[in-house]
Amino acid sequence: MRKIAVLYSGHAPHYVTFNTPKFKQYFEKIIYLPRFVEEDLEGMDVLIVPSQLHNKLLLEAAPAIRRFADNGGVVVAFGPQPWQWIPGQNWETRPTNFWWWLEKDADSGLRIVAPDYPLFRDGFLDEAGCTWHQHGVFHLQEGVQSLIDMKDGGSLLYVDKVSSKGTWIVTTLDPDFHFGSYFMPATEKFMDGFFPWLAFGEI
Amino acid sequence: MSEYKIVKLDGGHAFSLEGRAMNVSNEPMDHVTFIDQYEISTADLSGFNVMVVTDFIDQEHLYEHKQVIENFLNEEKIIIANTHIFRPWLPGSGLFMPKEIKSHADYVMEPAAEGTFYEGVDMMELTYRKGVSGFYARGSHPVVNKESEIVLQFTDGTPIVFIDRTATKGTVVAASCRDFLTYATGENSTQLIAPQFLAWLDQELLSLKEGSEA
Repeated sequence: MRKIAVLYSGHAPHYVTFNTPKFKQYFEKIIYLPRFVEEDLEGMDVLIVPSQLHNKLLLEAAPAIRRFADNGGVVVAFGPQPWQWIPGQNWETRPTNFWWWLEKDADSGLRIVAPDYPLFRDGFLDEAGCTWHQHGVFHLQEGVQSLIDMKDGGSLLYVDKVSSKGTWIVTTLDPDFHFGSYFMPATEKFMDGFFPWLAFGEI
Repeated sequence: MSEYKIVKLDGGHAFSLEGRAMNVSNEPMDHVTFIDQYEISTADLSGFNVMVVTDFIDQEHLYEHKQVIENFLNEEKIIIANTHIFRPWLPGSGLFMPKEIKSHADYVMEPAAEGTFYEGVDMMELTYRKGVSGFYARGSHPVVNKESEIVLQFTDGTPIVFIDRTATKGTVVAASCRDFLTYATGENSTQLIAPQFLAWLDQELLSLKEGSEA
């Protein structure tokens, strides 16, 4: 089992999500962001950077997070990314349609484009488990692999094995916020599959 | 002229860009001063008489600095908590309990009394948004003091919004629902909440002032 650390902002949705026993069992360390120091990452294999972190603290932590990936670690980033801190980050904010499933001929616009990637191939996640709403997309550089696209362009989830010695797994999806706010049951399904994949799956 | 001078803590998160602090309506809040949440212990709060705490605020930090909250209240001021409280930083309120749900109708709410800042608000419009139930509130904070005034509750009687005037010299509004101040626009009766709440703030500040002069 990989050793997974997660940054924790101290706000209510994160408190609930990271302390729910079925998710907490996957975390070797829950690191309170205001007290984060680089040594916290020693011995860790994976670092989860959740959505909705305090901007200044995130940007202060970013160089250490990038060094973690440069040394071979796996960094996972959830949610909208209005601040530039991810290698090659090319984020576009888009209006969020919270209620798309109530429309006629509803289509979230989300498409799995790498069904053979182990996350999907090995049964950890399917399209339904990734489907709620989006806050924007990423436009990818060459060599970076998108796993989920939007039908009108841009990536919702990608894996970057070229910008560092390690791996960046970046998604605009924000399950940590919604589950902890008692909203959007699909976000629970996402984490039911995603955390076991990080712990045991082929990345 | 308004009595209230509102300071709102800013979580510095992605949804708070442009000072909107997860504003449902995306309208600017010219009547509100934002300060970064981590400045709560160093900022000069003397010019404010109302503090608003919403989702995405670091409650570990609030708990570490709960004396600031208590001091603010003991200066006969008002604190509004529109969030799920999981650390005991707010006098007069218990910790958040999610609502046990068997049906979407379990999220239906009702005012606990006439003439509150929910006056004229259609509870179905508040409970449901585009047909989805529970957008406004999904749980409650236990009332600590039996004298607390319940404003809004689920139909089974569990409180969503209550006002406590006994735990400190000030007034606590403990609300497990969304930010009152963001319900200012929109196309239905829920837009009444923000202006009626602001009017209530004025009235409450006046009562606190009169109480201290008595």
